[in-house]
Amino acid sequence: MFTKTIVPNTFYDGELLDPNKVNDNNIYVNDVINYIASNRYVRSVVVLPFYLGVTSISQADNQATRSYLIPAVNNIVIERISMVGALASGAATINIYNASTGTTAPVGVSNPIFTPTTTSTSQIYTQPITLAAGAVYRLEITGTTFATSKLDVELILRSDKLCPSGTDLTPAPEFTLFEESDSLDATEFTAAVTALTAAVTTLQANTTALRVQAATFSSFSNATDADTLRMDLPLATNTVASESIYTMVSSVSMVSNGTALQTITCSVTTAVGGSIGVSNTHSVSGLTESTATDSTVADIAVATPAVISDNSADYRITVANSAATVCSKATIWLFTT
Amino acid sequence: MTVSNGSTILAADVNAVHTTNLSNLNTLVRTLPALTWMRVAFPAVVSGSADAFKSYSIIIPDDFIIAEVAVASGEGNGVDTVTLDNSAMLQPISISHTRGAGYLKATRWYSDATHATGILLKGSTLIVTLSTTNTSASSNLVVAVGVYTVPRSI
Repeated sequence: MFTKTIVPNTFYDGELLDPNKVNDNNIYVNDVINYIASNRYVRSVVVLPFYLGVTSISQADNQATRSYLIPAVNNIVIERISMVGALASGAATINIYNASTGTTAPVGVSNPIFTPTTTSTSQIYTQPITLAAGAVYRLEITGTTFATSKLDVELILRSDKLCPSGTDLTPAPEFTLFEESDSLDATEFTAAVTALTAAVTTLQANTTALRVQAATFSSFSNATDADTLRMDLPLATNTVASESIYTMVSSVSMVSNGTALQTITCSVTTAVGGSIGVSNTHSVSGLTESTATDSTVADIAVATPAVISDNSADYRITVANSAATVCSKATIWLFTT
Repeated sequence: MTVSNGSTILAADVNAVHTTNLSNLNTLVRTLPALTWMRVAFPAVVSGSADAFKSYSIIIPDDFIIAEVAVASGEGNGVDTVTLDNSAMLQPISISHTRGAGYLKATRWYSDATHATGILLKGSTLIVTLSTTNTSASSNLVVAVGVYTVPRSI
């Protein structure tokens, strides 16, 4: 790790300005820039269960129950996706596609990405899958007749500080290496410094990489204890000062029994210490869905992210169901920087 | 510093041409490594639940150092023992927790002088296992593992 803040070569008044020394200094700074740029990735691991609590999912369940919506807040790459577990019966496939545009697979991806069986233990899809910023993707299990057992899909998500929106911002400063036989040209000397300084500025302006978590809550109604429907944010005291936190809720689903109306909400609150004690409530875009009769309700659209920038509090996210009718599954995606 | 052909350059000026850049880069270096979280939940798992639902196997995507482990329960009863093990760890991490009414947190586990640092190598498998005497299906247990990404040197 580079810790020196001085260049390799020092010059003295009266000496002949050696081009090699000038080159060495510029190259050293360029090396440090490359080192910083190479540490651009932050990886997160998200585990998505394809069962509800300890209950299996089958082909009879609605799409929202059989799938997850994955919102790409920034450009994110699923570096590797793996399936761990098996079916209890039948046959199924797991597919991923861009839900924002329909049912097309992400660029370069061939579905199905997994084919679980009753005897499978693990499968890995090693081809990286790029989730374009602003799009929403669906990861879905389908089949004619199947029931899942303990079946999890694990996503290794890679966030890139230098590619948040899909455009690569990697600095590549270009500067002249002076030949020993040349006279040092002032314009080229200045240009080298300028190029390297611009590269440093780019690195300083792009230090944010997303970390991703997801929490799935299943089979809950207005009678479900709120203490079981909670996702705590990483403790603020262990995070970088002025850390901002983005929240997004997606893939809220429900099973309706006819005329019941449900409102699924997501709220962010702060808790004091380790026990429940609401001291502040931050309003976030309430995610609501109501339907009268449809038992195959599709997922709720992704809500607007809420930004939380107070690192002095202990935050939690909770979901709630206004009705006695059970909501089969709700998933919270948490993106933090 | 203004440089022009034919001019005399002070050594001090040449020496200082990258001072600010290196200072800024040094600051950026010190923002490494990054802390990230892995999270698994055991909703509705009781003592009689199948063993498969009491265990997660997570393939580690990068070289990680375990910084802390947080265990919390929503409702339920009995005692939980959460174990984290990996082929490269010096010893498994074991956390005991008693459930009850409300939302309760176990004493957070930190990688410190009393706990051997947990190392998770890229490509290895972390196994999170729950042993519980809980009998309430209307409960939840969550395990969150905070890890530091180990930066690689060039």
